Amino acid sequence: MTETQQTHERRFLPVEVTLRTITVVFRVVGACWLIVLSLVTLLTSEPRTPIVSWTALIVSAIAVAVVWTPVTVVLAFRKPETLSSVPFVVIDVALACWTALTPNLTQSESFFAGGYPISAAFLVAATRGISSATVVGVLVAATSVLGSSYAPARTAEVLAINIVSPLVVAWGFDSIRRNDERRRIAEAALAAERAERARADERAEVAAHLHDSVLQTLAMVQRRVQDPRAVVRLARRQERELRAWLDGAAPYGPADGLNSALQRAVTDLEDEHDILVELSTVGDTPLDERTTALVSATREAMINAARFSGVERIYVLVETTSDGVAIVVRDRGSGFDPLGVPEDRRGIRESIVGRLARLGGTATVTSAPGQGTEVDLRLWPVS
Amino acid sequence: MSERVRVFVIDDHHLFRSGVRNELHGIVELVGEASEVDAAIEMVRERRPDVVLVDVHMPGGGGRAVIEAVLETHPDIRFLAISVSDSPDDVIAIVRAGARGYVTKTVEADELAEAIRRVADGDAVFSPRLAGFVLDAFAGSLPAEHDPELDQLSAREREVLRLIALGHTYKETAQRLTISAKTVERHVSSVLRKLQLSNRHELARWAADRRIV
Repeated sequence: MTETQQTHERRFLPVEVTLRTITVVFRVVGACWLIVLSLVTLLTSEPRTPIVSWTALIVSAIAVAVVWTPVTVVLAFRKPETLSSVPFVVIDVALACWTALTPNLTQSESFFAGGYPISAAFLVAATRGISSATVVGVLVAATSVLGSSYAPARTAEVLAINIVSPLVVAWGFDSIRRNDERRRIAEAALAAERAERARADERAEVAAHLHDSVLQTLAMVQRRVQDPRAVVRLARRQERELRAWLDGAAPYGPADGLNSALQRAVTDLEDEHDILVELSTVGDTPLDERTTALVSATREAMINAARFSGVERIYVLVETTSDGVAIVVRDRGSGFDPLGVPEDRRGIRESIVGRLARLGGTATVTSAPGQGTEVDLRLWPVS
Repeated sequence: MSERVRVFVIDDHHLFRSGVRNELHGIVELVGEASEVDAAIEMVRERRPDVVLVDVHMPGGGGRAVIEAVLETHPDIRFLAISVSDSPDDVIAIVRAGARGYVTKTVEADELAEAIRRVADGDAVFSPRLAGFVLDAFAGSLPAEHDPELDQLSAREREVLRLIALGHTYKETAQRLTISAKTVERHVSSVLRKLQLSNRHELARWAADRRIV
């Protein structure tokens, strides 16, 4: 981070905003104070200098308060960085000194500049610190002493107030800032420490998981290089496991849903047979007695495909709607003649067709030699 | 084929890029590769390939960022998304961003070449997996204010997607439905268009979950 950025950010710290607000409020109070005193002087005192210049000088002091104060307020909230810039400080202090001098120039007995001049010293104390505040304090004090030279003698008082109070204010502001800075450093350190601890925990957890899973699999892969199918199976199982861990949740919906149960069946099948199942699911429904039986029938259809089709990939589409569940298990393999299935092959007849009939559904097996096999399972909702 | 398809590969995995290079060598013309989003956008704009093979997951916004930036200036460049990801939201999001198809990294070399050719011809490439995701995305309730043209699939389109999800090729799908292969392609392109333009809340929700809308 560059230094300009740092100073820039510093200007928007809550503590800076507060200090600035305090001094700007005092500027407004000082300005009102000047306006009231000046108007009173203008309306009630006897002019001691030519009437034209007397009026013009007092009005100029009022003009400073009326015009420049809103400028200060707007800048303080819109472009706070201007307030500490040299041009602004020079103009602001010059105008403050001018208001402090006008009582002298009008030979007025009343120091009608009121609290305005000192507000410039306070402003500098907030925006530029203790040394600038001292310089401005001395300037304001000197002009105020001069400005009140026709007023009842109170030189010591004016000097004391104008020099000491900006110093005290600047010192107070500086210590508030230092405390705030210390607090922020401590908080940042605490947050960094906490984040570091969280990162370390996470690393440890990842390391433990990788050790238990990926590294074990890699070791097994190295020992089984002669068996490419086993390697593919290991890689596939590891991929699935790692993905489930990365996703942090079951990607196929709630664990007690139909889709998750089918996904588990697919995983088992892929582990036991050299087959890849492309499972697509549309909608989902909770598992109950009937849908659990449907999963068993689907598993049976998938096992048949894995055993007899001779292909490496089968497709399963599950669609759950308000009309029930429709599942299709399809392979592009060798196929068979459904009429020529020997009596002892009970897989299809018992586990699939019979089971679906008992559930109040249907099972249709479409196949022909060389044409692949399609098993269509339908389960209607219980009415 | 008169001229070989000019292909650009974007993936942050060196191993994958060299694998693709080997597999596609001699089948397509590889015009370049990139491993990060910003460089990829610049190079693709400069070399104007026919098809960009782009990884879904990459630091700096992923394939989605590349697709959106390039399509803004070069709407004629076509994208085929490729990923190890199986999560429906990622896949749906990248297709919504403008990819004309999606294949997984386990795809066979000849399938990949065929998919690239199809995308180059302006067709949509729906793998069985993508077809399943799309069916799921368009299932369920319709948004309160829905546009029937965009927010739901026609019966025919659903039928086409079902057959694709069950591993039928476009040609086989055409035979099953006794329609022409061109008609199948038209249905798939129409599904792609709906996927990209629909405001279905399921699609929006999937995208919003990943904070990419």
